[in-house]
Amino acid sequence: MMEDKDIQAMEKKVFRATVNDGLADMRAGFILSLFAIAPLLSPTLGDFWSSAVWLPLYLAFDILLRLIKQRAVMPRMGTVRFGPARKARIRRTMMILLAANLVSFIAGLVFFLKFNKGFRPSVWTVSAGLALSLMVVFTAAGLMLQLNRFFIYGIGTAIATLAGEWLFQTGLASHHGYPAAFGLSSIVLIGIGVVVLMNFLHHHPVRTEGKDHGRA
Amino acid sequence: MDEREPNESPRPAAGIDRIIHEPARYLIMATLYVVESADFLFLERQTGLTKGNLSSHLAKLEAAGYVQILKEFIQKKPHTMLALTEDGRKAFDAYRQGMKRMLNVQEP
Repeated sequence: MMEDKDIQAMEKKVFRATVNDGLADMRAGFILSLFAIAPLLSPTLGDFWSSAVWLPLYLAFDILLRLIKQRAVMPRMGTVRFGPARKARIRRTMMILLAANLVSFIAGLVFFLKFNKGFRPSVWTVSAGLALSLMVVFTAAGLMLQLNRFFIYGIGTAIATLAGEWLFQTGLASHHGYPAAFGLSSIVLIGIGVVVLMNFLHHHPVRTEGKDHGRA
Repeated sequence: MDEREPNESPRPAAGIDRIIHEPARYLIMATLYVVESADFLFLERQTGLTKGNLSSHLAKLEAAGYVQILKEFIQKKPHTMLALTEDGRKAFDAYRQGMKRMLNVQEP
């Protein structure tokens, strides 16, 4: 017999089944690749275009993920519509994600303006700020998707950011360690996503509605 | 001597909805209870039931007025959306309450 907490656990299990296809991991990994690629392109393309060239690539990747979801995942998983409580929870978490991004953007803008006026904070302050932002964003994503591994991604990328800075300080990496730290994080997340997706496709062969269910 | 069948007992168990009490139907009801609607394939995946088994249980739940079945064709393929009716939600709530009461009564 189900208690209320069991009903909640059941809803969580059903929701998780719809998002645990590895696509979110791949998307997060691809977004992290911006931090790895932009510093490398910056000397030749400048700060703006080094980031801007990545956007069409992300758009192409986004289309690819949507196609995978539509053509490969949905025919194996089926369709489900969640109730108002779940939709409200997703909206709340989206607001947290938006707020975290907005705060990071404003902090970056303020930093940029102050930097132009001669402000030079400790490199560790910048790295710690970025690490904290990544942890907040990944935690919010983990809460929204109910996928615990996103909390680990948050901790992992935060540590990678600080480790990258340390590598840069010791002369073992360039560009404050961003290409190394975020390149590796990106590869790991996309790799995990691919493994999860392959596992899902392997264990969920395509089924179509046949004669049997027509009686229902 | 009491000649009643075991399931005709006047004890709290008598109030338990036997349509929902069957494990497969209970699983279907519980899954549909936590969502707004789901299609046949999704329910099949979540419950682990075979197509035939799921169909027959859904037919019973539909006959009881607990499940609403909407049939449609998407790209010439049959597609069935399923949702609990208002009566179905009430019956599932009542079933859970009934079971809770019964288990409380039977506790030593």
